[in-house]
Amino acid sequence: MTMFLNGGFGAFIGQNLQELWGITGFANVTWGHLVMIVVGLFFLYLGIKHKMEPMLLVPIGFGILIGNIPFADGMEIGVYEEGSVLNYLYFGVKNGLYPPLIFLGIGAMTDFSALISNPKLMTIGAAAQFGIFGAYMIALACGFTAAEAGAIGIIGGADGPTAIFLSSRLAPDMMGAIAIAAYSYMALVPVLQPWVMKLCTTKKERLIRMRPPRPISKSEKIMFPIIGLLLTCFLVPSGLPLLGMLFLGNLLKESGVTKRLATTAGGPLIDIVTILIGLTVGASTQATTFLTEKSLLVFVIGATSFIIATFAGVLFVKFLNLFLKKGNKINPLIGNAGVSAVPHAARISQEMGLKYDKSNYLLMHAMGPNLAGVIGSAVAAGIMLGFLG
Amino acid sequence: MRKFCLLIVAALCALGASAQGVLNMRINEVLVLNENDVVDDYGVRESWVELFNTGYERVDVGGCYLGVRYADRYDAEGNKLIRKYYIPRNNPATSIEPLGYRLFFCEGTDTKGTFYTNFTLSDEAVDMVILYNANGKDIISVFKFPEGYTPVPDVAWGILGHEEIESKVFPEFTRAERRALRGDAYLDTIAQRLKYQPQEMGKNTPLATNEVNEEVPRHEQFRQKDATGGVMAVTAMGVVFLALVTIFLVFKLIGMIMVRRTNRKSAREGGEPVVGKQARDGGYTGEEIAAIALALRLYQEELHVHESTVITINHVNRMYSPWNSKIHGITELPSRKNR
Repeated sequence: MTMFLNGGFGAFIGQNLQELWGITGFANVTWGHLVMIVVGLFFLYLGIKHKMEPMLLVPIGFGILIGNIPFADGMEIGVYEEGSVLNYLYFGVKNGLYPPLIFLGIGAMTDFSALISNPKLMTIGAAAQFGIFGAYMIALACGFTAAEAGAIGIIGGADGPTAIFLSSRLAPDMMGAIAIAAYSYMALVPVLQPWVMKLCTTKKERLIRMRPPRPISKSEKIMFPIIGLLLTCFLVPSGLPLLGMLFLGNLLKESGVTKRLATTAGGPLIDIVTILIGLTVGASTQATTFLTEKSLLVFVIGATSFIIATFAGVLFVKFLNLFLKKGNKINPLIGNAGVSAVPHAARISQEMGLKYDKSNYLLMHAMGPNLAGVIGSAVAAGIMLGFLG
Repeated sequence: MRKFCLLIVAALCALGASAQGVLNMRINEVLVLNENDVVDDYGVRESWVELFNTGYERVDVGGCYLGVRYADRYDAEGNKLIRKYYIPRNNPATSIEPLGYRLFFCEGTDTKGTFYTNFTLSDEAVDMVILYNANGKDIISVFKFPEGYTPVPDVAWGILGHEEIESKVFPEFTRAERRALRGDAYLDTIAQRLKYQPQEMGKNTPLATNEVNEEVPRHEQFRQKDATGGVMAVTAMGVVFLALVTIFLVFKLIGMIMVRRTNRKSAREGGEPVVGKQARDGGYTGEEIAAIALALRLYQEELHVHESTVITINHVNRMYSPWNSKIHGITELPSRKNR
């Protein structure tokens, strides 16, 4: 009582409260944190309200919130602080562990029939990869190092796991910005692509009806992942982590004898890894490392790469049509699907096709270049890694 | 007797291994004029010779000889005079760890310890440093200064490259050459044929690797060669196309074989071609595919709409079996029988 009266106890409480205040988010907040929290909330809004890539944008958006709660350094809670739980989870991103696991799941969920039935659509998937290398050239011109330019360029592949995998190897510091850009633009495909498709095609071309795909035998489906792996990985061994897992997942699905494994890879496993990758990539966008001029440039070049890729895909189909007989021609509206962004890009083809002809269903055809784009972007990532890694 | 033989074989193997180990030694770096470089254990700055163990096993250089060849003094046979320093045995410090280094200070008195040689480098014109095997004749390593070499204070000469490549750097001679080459001719030929020649070091690195040049990152080397990225774009697009076009061609071929097989099978059974260009209906139309896809989606998504609101109680017949009999269950309490 005497101590309290003397002010000692009160001072002690006051000091404790002051210390507590020092470690709260309110004391450590900066304008950067607030900006990033707004970005995170925007991602959540897009994902929940507009259902744009909710599986990715919701964990990433929430991850941004987690990563931008301000705290005093040294508490071992931040994603970049060694020993923190988030840092352990971030290990999978930093060391490129999660992307191959996601590819395993994608392989286990994907039906390559559309591609196998009309294999010439593969070439569209290859052409659209020009977005990657176009962006690489632009990034070089903007003064980025070759490794950074390669990591930025891969945004044009429109494949989140591939972008994370390559940027973790080539430019780990920029991985957050690159991953966010890649996933954001995948969600924004309905905004970025249709005007390019319209600009590059005539009305007559948009009405082209494609030959229906032929039925695919089980043997062909089983052969595809095996032959695909051997052909691509002998050519670009550095793409092995992604392509190997993609084709393994597909073989698990198509072989018919490993249904449990395929179900796990394409279900619980990919779900778990998606949560972890989304959360940690989001959390890695701490304002201090994310809000830089470089990040802004990454976003601008990333958007450009998507547009270049769409141009390349659509124009390549038009070029291809010059050599195809009537009846065998390809609708250029599926050219945009050559960027990966499965299945959003293919869905854009379908919607655009139906807009001009109510009975012209392009989805099945567009899935061909869409899947070829997945393989193509993984091959492109392998080449980048081989040259610049 | 058998054990004795084994012991002899083991001893010979050990000797062989030990001899092989010494052959991994190299004269790695030499500083002739030491004015501001490292000091010896006595606080004096002396010329020094660095030995490097290029192997992956510990090597004891005790018993070997370190020699110098004078450029302007000759022996009785007319060869340049060589002076050798015997590296004392039984000193644990002469055992050099794998990929390890050891310095020998050339102070000329031979009285300060194991690592102080009986010759100097700075006082007389020396054109070669040689490391000999324990017999004092077989040469392990040769380090020859270039013609017209003039020592510069604190600038060492070293060998770059051999640390990474390892160990096959000693030149091989045919038997005829071995017979023909003697004295200086032999030493000079060895020095001439060495894959890696001594170079002036940009930075002295006593007891450390000579490979200190800062490596330009691979991506930077690439950017220097391809500043615009055009080469990368063309090459990489070529490879991507090659990969996917190869798959296209392979599956085009497989597709043709499959179509032919399916149609042949259909023809054998008396039917018409079912797939390919010969097929009358040409496969499914877009509407049909859309209808099938819609039907599948509805089926999969709405499968449980009604079921979730219906409670179904089925009667289950439980047939009697001793295995499910409660009488035989283990939960039955044991009955106590009174005698």
